[in-house]
Amino acid sequence: MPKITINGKTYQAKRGASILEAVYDQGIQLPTLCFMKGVNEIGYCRMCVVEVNNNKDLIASCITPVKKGMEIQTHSERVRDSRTSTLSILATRHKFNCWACARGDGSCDFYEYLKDYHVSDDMFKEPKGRFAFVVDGAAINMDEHKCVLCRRCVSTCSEVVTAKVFKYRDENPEDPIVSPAPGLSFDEAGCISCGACTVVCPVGALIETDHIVQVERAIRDANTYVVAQLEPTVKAALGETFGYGIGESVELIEGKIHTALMEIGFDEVQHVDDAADVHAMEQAKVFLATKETGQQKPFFTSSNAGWIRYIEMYEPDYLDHLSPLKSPHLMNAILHQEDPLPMQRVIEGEEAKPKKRYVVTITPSTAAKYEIGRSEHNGFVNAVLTTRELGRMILKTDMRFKRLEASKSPRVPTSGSLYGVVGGETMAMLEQLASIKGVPLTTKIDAFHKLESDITEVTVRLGKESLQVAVVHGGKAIAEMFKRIKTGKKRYDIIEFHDTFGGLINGGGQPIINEEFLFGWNVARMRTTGYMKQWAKSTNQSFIDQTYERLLEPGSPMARKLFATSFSKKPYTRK
Amino acid sequence: MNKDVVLRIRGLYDEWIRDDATSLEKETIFQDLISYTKDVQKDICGKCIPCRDGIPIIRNFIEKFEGGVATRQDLQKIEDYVANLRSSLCSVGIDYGKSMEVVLRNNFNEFHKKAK
Repeated sequence: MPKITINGKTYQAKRGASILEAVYDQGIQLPTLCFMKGVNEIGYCRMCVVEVNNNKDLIASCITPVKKGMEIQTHSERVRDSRTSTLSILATRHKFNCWACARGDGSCDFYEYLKDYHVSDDMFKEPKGRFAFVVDGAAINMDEHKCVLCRRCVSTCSEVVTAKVFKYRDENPEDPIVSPAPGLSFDEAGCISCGACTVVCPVGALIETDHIVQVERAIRDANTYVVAQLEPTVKAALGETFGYGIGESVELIEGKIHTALMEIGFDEVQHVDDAADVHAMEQAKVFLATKETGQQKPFFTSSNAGWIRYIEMYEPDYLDHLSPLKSPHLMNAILHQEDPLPMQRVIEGEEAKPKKRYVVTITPSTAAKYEIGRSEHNGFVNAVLTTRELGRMILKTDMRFKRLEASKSPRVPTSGSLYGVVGGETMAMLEQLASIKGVPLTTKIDAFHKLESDITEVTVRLGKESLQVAVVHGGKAIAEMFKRIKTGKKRYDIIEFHDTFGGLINGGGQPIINEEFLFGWNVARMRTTGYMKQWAKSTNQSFIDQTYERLLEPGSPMARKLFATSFSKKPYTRK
Repeated sequence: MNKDVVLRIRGLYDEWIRDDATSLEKETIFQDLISYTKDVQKDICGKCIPCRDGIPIIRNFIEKFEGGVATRQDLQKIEDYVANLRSSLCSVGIDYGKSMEVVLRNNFNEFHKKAK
């Protein structure tokens, strides 16, 4: 345990810790633009520099381990001056249109540091940005005007997601550029649209493709009936935008979201949990029919859009393992497609002519933005808002979210509510399997959502049968799982895949947390714990019964026709 | 090494760089500095901010001095950015910064005369 001095006080630091960690443990957070623990420890941004032993040469605290007897100054005059200069140098190459930026809501690290270090603007009169172009994508956009070359996206995409879309191109060392394959959009360059890069970007260079404008246009249009489909996991994180802690007061937020959506101007709020129950039922039927339909084992779940992108591009040989069903939010849109508008409006005489239906899904997943534009699902859902975008829309209005009244008592959560949590989809499916077969299910959800490792393997007993179930989340884990499948040593029956750590609840569209030691695992765990508090085992069969009474019976040809989708190999170029 | 010895060596180094012999030719000082900066720019690797974006900015300022359009504020800026090179990642930036610190200290009059 080396003894060190931080700003005149003596502390015991952990052996092998970096200076940044030691300082963080003492309650001081140094500014960082590039550092991410375990993922991006490169020391490029020079924001976290500190003065050690009164040496004039400042060193980056993130990549320097502590040594015995170090005298560290974290905020001396020299250090502050250096940070101010570094920031003003960066600012000369950053385009400041903060009012139009997605990160203008106060989640921009760079903006905060410019404020903290009193950077004057006489150096950057009309900054045009590094490169004047935007890389497009169905789910993700990159604005090169704003990039500060921190390399976080490069490391995250190659090490956490393993898609390796971004590259740090320093052929011209004075003007490096981070981009996907030159000239191509994200969709062509191998991006799985998981949104991990948008969460780690310290500025607004990487953001989800904006759907707010078109949704607002639809809301303003009097002849459009706008439906919001709410993914249950949105409520696990939306509060963070408005000052609630991570995983805090999930129950409270649900009713508030309802009020806020109605206030914004949505005509109806639907919950995707219901359709997720139907999805689980259909998936159970598909699983039972695997032998007849020629579907191969192991059985892969398919409700996660980012994961579908992954398998279509990187493992196309396994496409016939996927459950051929649409995701719950699309199913919900289809099930309500033919719905008449609420009776009351007809009575009030507002309904002279039928209104156009406009369906908006609110979800933590950025990949859903890509998903709704696929040729197989075109037209069911018109727009997708991420949790962040919803937060921005609420901030735009003059509502005070914290003071809003909850308009509805919390819904009774069903097994479909757990689709966004690791293991939830399999659990819902197993419940349906058990009820179809009439056998008890002893396995609990807790067995699956262990967030200590990204691959969880569980043996489930279903009557006389025993099923090998695996739950895989995060791109790195998906790659590892395919290695295991290919070696063929172990038999798997059902494998559930998620594109992000911790599943949808920690998706790429959730609010951003500006703490370099608090991402990925930790956040996923905190959100899941908060979310699971609300959840109590219940069997709310009413929506399922209603659906099947009205339409069809589970697994019938009609249901197949409505809910089935197809997958195909997708090409990509990485340069 | 003993701390006192280190401090003494550092003091001697400071004395040495203050020597008049290290001041540059008055007539060609800015041309010399520009060509020196151009040489250093070839070695920039493009990783850390103070060096990658700082050195080209410093060169712009020196060119301003050469053209006779520099202001007192520019002199202040040049000092700030040179001092900031101490926080570079590798020796390319740090060495250039140290040399420029010496140049600025020993030829401050030349810079000051040119600045309006």
